[in-house]
Amino acid sequence: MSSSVAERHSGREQALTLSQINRVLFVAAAVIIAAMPYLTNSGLLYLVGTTLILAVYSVGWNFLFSWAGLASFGSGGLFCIGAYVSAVALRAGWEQYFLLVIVVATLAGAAVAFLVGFVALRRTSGIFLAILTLSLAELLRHTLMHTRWLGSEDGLPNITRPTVSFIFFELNLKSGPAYYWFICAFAVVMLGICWWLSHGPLGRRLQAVRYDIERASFVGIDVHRNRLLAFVISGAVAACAGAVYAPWAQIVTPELSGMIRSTQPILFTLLGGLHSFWGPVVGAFAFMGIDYATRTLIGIQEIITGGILLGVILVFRGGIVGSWNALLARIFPGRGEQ
Amino acid sequence: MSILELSGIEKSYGPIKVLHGINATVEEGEVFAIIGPNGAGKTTLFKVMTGESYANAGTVRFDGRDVTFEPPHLRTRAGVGRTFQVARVFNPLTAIGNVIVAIEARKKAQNRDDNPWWAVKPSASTREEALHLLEGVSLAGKANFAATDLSHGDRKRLELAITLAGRPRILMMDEPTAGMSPGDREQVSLLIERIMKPEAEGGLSADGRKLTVVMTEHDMSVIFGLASRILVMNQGELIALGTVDEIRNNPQVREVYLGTEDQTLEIVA
Amino acid sequence: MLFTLINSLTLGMAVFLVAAGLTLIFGIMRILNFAHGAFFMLGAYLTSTMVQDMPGSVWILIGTALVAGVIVGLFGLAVQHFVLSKLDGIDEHFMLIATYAVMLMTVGGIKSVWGLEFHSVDPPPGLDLGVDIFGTFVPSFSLFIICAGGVVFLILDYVIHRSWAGKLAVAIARDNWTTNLMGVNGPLGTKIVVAASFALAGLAGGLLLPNQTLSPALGDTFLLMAFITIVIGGLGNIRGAFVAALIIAVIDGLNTYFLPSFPGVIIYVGMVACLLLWPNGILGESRL
Repeated sequence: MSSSVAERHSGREQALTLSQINRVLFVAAAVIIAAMPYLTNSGLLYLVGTTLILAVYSVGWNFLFSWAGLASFGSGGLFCIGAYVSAVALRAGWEQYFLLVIVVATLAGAAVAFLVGFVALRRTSGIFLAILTLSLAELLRHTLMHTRWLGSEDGLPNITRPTVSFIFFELNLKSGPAYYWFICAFAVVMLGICWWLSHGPLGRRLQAVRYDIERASFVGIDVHRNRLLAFVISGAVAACAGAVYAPWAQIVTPELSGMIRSTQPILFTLLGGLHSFWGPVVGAFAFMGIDYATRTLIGIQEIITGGILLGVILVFRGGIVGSWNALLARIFPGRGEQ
Repeated sequence: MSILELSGIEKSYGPIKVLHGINATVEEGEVFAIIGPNGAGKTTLFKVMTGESYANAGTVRFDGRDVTFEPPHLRTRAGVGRTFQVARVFNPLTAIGNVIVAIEARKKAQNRDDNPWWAVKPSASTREEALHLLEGVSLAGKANFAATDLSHGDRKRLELAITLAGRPRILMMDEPTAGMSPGDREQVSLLIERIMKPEAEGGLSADGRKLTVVMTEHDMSVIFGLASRILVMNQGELIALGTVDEIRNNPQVREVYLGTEDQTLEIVA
Repeated sequence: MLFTLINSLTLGMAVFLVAAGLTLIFGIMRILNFAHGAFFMLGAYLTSTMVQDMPGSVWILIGTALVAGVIVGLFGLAVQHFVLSKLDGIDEHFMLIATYAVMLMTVGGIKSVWGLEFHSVDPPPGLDLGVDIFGTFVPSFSLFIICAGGVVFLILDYVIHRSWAGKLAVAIARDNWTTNLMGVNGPLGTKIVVAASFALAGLAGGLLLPNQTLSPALGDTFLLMAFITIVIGGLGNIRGAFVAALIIAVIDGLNTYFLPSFPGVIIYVGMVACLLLWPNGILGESRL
């Protein structure tokens, strides 16, 4: 069967290689996402926009996990920090400086990640880091829950979407579609930066550390410093995503720092495909689909999500991306690239 | 000046003292072998020299500088290269990918990055150098193999290439022929002898000087073939240090290390 | 002052009851079990179904909690058979996430059986009032929890460190392969310890049920505290977990005393500080 398929495509010049097939799919997906405001109602648009933000957030987490080999269970805390910075600034009426607000929020996330990483990363045990980051995020959540000027348990509601002023023109992001396209632009920029970082020399160094930490230090790589750098980058991406999220949701609550938010990127990455750059993005949209399809089934939703996760861990370790590529390679043998 | 000086090295694991004050110096360009029966403390001494663990007392000087508590990545940058008993390479990477990571690490540490800051791929000169190193250890044909798929011996060669990519002045090898057949061992001896030479003479020592080699080894024929001086250890103490001939004729070594006299003569002869 | 102390001690012992099973399963399988909180909750829900609004007496409460423990233990055997036993030798992150998936499924199951409404159960007669100690009113249910924590600790400590079965379990935890060679049925031993760990979660859920508001989020709070407890105490170390639970009680007391407007904040600060000070636990990591 498979050999006959190969024969039918013996005219190699016309046949697409596997990575070209994926590229076509990628472009198609990008076009659909960009055209979303024309295709759906505002409820679904909100869902897709949120998923885009969470996808960027998860790519940042995955940079830490799949490249540096460190699993943070508290990235929700950094997302939360970015969201609160943005919420406070917008409610104070600094909406024309929104881009600057995002930068400040990102830097805040980076700074907190630096402090945490500086202390925590000297330990190599994964469990230690997991518990420490989990408790720090929980500490933040409890503090926010009892901080009155940040709205205590109810959080900060009524965040207005901004009108961003550049020197020569103004960009009105008040409407849903306008802010949605702003999210798209943000996703393109952040994913671009993350792609560049993970495929460049820093990405190679981090992978070396993940593959063999001792060997890495014996080729002259400063393990601690590079891991810290990855931790800071990942934290900055999380806070940046949080800052863009606040005006989209128009409310921030301490629950942003909860365990659900922190474990989201883990689920996305695992479902989408571990050790793959695009895995978390694919996983985020797949999870959105599952969530949307099962939204009325209380309880069943968790059972399905949990079941899928177990299936990924026990059977399809490569997640959607890994399984898809394996499937393509089976259907179209001989079309892989050398 | 000696390239490596050990003075009064002591090391304990918990209550057990493993090294009892070792003093030795390694001269530039020599092959310095450390031998001793199992449990003599060779590997521990090796770890203290490379920075894998730190001495409890005493100092390690490299090139006149105190490096006793310097972590491995700084010693590597200063010019100490090291291979492991069981070759340690970056398994999922290709052979050339392994060497590229090591070259990039060196260039970055020396601030000699020849790639523009925005570049994603390694620079042409880095790739060239990596290929050159792989050729030097006879692995050029397998440059695109994943390191996992290489044989035991090839992994040792690859590890050597990774180590040489750091342009070390001193090469520390922990049992370079462990687990090899006699034929392969001879190959490794020849390889070590060849790479030690400066590049101008067909070797892989990049800075124009002859590479210094420190090794632990069990195989006496490898030792006697390569070593210029030998340090003999027993139960955490240095019992002899000298040239191959001196060690051969040292009665204490015979007694403690090589066992009864009859056997000694057979092995040494 | 005494009132605060008793309250904090109650929290500490409650956390210990949850942490005991958690540290046990880590000791034998090196797995940090995210699902533990969910099974703790399952125990609480099962008990609430059995006793309805109020248990008839203390002994009925203890009895139903034990029954819930046995049922949850059986669930644990199923989890061990279908999930945990297949995780041997894989990356520790996958183990964490696999147990997280089990947690999701358990919480989902609880939601679909019991719904999202809050339940609450009163303490049984005899424990619903308070006693007067040195002029301070102390709820007798708190005393019950403290005693339960102490008794569970003593029993576990005896079983693990003194009894033959405990020594076998320790041997399996340290070197399963060699223990098998010596004719011990290692897989069976592991199963028993895992079942015991889950049963402890169920038992804790049952015992702590009165005075709690039973909602599907109950597991998370206790789980995180229990996690930190066993890390501070030294993973897999039952005595360490007990000491850490006492430390948490003290920190909680300080929190209530000095910063009452931020409940639960200092306790996390304290836990983080302990984590950083003793990364391997106060009493050190232990294989059971």
